[in-house]
Amino acid sequence: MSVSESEPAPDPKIKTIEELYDYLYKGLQLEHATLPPYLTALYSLRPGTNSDARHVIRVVAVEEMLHLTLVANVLNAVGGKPDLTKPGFVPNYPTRLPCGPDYFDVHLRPFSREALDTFLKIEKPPEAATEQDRFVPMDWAALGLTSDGAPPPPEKLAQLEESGTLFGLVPGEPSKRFASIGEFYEEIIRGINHLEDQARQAGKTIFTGDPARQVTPEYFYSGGGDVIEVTGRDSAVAALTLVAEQGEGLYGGIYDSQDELAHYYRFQQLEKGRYYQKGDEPNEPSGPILHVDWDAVYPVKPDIKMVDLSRDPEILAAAAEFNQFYATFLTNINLAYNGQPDLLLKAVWEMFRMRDSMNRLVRNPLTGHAGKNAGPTFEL
Amino acid sequence: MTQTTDAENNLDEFVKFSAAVTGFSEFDLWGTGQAEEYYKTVLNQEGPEAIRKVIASDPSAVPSDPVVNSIIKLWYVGVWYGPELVGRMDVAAWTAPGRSGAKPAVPDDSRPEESRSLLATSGRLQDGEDRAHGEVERKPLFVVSPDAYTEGLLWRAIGAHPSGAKAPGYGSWVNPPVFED
Amino acid sequence: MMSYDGTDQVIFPAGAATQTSAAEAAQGVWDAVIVGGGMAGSIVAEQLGQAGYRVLILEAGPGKDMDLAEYESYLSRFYGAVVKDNQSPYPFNPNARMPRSTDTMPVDPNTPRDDFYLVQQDKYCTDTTFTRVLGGTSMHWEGKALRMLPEDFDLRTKYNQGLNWPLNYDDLEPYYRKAEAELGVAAEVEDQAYLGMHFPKGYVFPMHRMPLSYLDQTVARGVDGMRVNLADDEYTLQVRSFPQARNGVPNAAYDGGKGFVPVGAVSTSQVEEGERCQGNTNCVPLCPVQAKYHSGKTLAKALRKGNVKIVTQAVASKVEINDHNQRVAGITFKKYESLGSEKYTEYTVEGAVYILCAHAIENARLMLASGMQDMSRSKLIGRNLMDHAYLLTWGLLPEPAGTMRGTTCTGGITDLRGGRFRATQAGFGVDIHNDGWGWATGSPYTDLVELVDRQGLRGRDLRRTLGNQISRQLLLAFMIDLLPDRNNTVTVDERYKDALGNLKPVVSFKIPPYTMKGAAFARKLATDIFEKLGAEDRTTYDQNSYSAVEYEGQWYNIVGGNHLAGTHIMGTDPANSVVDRDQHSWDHDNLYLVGPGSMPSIGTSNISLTMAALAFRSAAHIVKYLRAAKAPAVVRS
Repeated sequence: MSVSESEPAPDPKIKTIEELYDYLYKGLQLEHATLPPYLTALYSLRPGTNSDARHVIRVVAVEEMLHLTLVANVLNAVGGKPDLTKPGFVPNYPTRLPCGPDYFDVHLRPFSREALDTFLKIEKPPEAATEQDRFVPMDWAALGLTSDGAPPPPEKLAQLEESGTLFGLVPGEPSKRFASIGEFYEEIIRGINHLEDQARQAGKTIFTGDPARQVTPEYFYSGGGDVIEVTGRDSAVAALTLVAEQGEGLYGGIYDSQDELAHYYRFQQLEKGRYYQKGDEPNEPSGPILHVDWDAVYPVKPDIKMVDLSRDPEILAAAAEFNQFYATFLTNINLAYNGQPDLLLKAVWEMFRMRDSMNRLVRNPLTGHAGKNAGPTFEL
Repeated sequence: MTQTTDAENNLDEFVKFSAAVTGFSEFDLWGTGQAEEYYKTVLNQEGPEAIRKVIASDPSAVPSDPVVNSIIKLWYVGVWYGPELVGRMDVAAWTAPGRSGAKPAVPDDSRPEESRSLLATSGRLQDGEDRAHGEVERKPLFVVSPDAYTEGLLWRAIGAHPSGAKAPGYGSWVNPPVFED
Repeated sequence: MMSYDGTDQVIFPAGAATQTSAAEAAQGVWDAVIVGGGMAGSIVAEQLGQAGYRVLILEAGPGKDMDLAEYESYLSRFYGAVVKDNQSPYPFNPNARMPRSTDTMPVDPNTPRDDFYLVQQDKYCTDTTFTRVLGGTSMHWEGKALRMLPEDFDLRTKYNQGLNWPLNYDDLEPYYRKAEAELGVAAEVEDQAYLGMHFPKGYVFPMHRMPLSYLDQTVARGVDGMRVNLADDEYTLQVRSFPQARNGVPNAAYDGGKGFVPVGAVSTSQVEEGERCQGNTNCVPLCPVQAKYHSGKTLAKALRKGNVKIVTQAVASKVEINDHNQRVAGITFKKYESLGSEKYTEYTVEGAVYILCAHAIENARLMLASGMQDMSRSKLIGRNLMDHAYLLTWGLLPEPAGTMRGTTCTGGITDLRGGRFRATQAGFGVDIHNDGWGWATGSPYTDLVELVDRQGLRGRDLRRTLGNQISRQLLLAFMIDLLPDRNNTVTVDERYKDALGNLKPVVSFKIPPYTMKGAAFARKLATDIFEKLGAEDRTTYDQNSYSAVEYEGQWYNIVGGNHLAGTHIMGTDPANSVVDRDQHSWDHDNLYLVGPGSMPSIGTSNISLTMAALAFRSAAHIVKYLRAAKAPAVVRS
């Protein structure tokens, strides 16, 4: 990603504060969208096994929560209101994320080589070098969403976007999408710069949000990076840059600006069977060896839905209860992002309760799906 | 296929019976991930006849076959207390987590016999030893596996979490306890 | 050497536990040779390493790097252990044995037995323990980090009891702050400024206090404001949070507003765990996430410096003394090959200065086994062994109070730690145990057996009754002061040797009447507190137990606190002490004895924080000693 701090962008897509809010909401939705797949993989690991994989996925999941918080801080700083409880905020899996020229499907899956491959794609460093490469034409036909390849009609488009079926569309330009998540954040930074420059010319600022709505480090820390309190342009850019680089590394390196190993490289350790250490080049970890036991995993049915549980009433009830916990979790986080930051500590309690609930689900064999176990459906 | 089905049926029946005597649902029991290990533990320790007899018995019968007591305790704390250890509070005390120094309420002369060998082999089983799956002599006292400990139902019953696992989160302890049931 | 910055402070250099061979160590020239890689040894090593000196640590425990996999093997071993005592997470090691509570019983010298380490021959036996693995006893300590009271340093002057320290609170205060930073203590000054404890203006602890548990709050409702008369003075009780070396919420005002960054789990790669306590209720014997301080956090820092090395599986067996000048000429140690083999090779290492940091019992044992008592002017090596005397009392509260949640102990009553009554009876602190009656009765497993086997409960009935019963448990543990007594001793005896042929420690330990008077008062106070709370008193004592002590016609059980101290006490001259106020040996110029053994009294605070403060203080003196003795070796960084 090419971070431009104050260079005027050629033609920023974000021209109004409402458009900035819209982008930032999509950012929240995007950051959150990775959580259910990571959690499903994490809790599919059998206890007492796969310690390395468990820790790697756990740290990434915690950092996704950090990203969600950072985006919320930016949105609050510019006077917006995060809303994690809107219908459709949680995607209906599988969802699609942009990754260079291709979209790829993100499933709820137990830990596996396929799941790891998806995780690597989610966090992959972008290759876009030129301004044109930042966008990719949308092939709606290839996704099977329209027959002629043209964008769907506005109503259907709105529905698709709202439901988190696919991410990375350029708002207002359904024939294009961002080449990567990094470019999506780059666009937001450009938009902030543009709007703030404009506002300053008029003797104003877009950073009009109530500072009390910021989540500060005392409310969030659990490994992997610190919360940045957003009070103006510099801290907004720093927060969004951290979100982007914590996934993919800073300037082509394996660490981010807070010296955290980037997610892509954390996951790559599982693929390579070795930890990275300070001084390593990308793709060449030289630290201690690590082990993955691909078989020590509960066979959770991929993309499981409540309808799959109809023959198992006790599992159905537990899955419904889990979804209830999850809804409560999002509601509490949302309150935390709306002026009650101390509720984030309590959200951790909910997270642990969900962990226990998920653990029970993934160990229950399903009736009528031979060899498959239940899992959380994340249908709210 | 029929053989597996028989085995599966037996396991299902074991879980059904266990649900009745433990007060937890079949979902909860499967949810521990221990059903198979526990079934095999009982099978290997007490034999197929004993387990058949138990499963066919009235789950509300008291006093029951001591094997039933062993099964309940197995689900609650993951420890196999053989039927000969029924009612042994001292044995329970020595196997409980938490500080285990001298316990005023537990007589010293009940300290585990051959404590050294018990302690030395505790945790990871010795190479090749697999008490849940037979091929070793009967053993009146063992923890089925490390996960069996953390999956004990007792902790859910008391609105807490196993000592050393399934942490509830920083500061959650300021709240009154919540009992699921 | 690779450079590491602040965010990498928990990286343990891969291979550090094994890459220095014993032979290399024996050939090397060291500025300092340290025996013991626990809290004191790690702090001294880190400080000397920082000053540029070449440091060698000899560690008796197994030779594994401190990484997450090793740590999780401890956890897994604990989960799977049949007997879950303090040492259950650690592998059985015949070459560096540890005392276990299950071993606690008198040994008859005429009946050979080998299933114990700590040899006791008296009727009363202590079940106290210490741990011999990398990280030492800090691996299983509870994490309470109280300072000693100012009056604790002048007991003899003030109350005509015990011994004075050659240091006072103010001498140690700056080092307490250093220790609080190193250990990462969570507390509020407003809670801790009692009984004369004072702090520099504007000081805040690194992290905010651990929240009081629901159980603490329940007890506080009955106890806060309760008045107690004792030796003509009236005391008002309150439930107060304990300072704890455990990661919580950092205080943004720490260090003049710079804040504090909690130190998480140690491993050979970046793991990002343990930055905050999750409430696993398992501080003893092992915090699953390393939110609790253990000295591996300091050791990792020390080893990263490159000039600090460690040899593991190296049991120090003799301090070699030059007969002419009484200086230490070397440390002989036995390097064993593995936990499964008693094969070993003997080496001797030499340094400019030697520092024994092997805890009260092992320091004394090593010195006595080396014949150093003969050269001691005070003859006090191994004498004045101390430990807190714990009296347990337990009751059943009228309503569920959420027992079995939180850290092992978040709050307690500290108002009777000090006061004029100490002229006649021991002070004490009271721990409200979040883990219920476990320590006293073996709950909750005993409740299970009681309900299932004896009461025949089944199904929902069983489930509900268990919840109701266990959640109402209240255990008050009184931690009672125990003064130095020459007759409480560690000795050695040729009849008792371990697998490597090293002499085992022989302990003789009795609970003095001064302490028992405090215990008797504590028992009455517990009755009053239970009554205030409407709790049913369930306390019973067993007079047949090895822990039984009679006082004024009543029997009590006094259990150990794992707060071992006092076997080489500090003092003002070579006749009344083994070391001076800097923990410098009076009798051997190039020897320091750093650890709780140097403490002339332990008051009513868990010893670790004071030991750590003393270690920082002594490290500064050892640097001065080395500077005078020689120019530091040039170290590449």
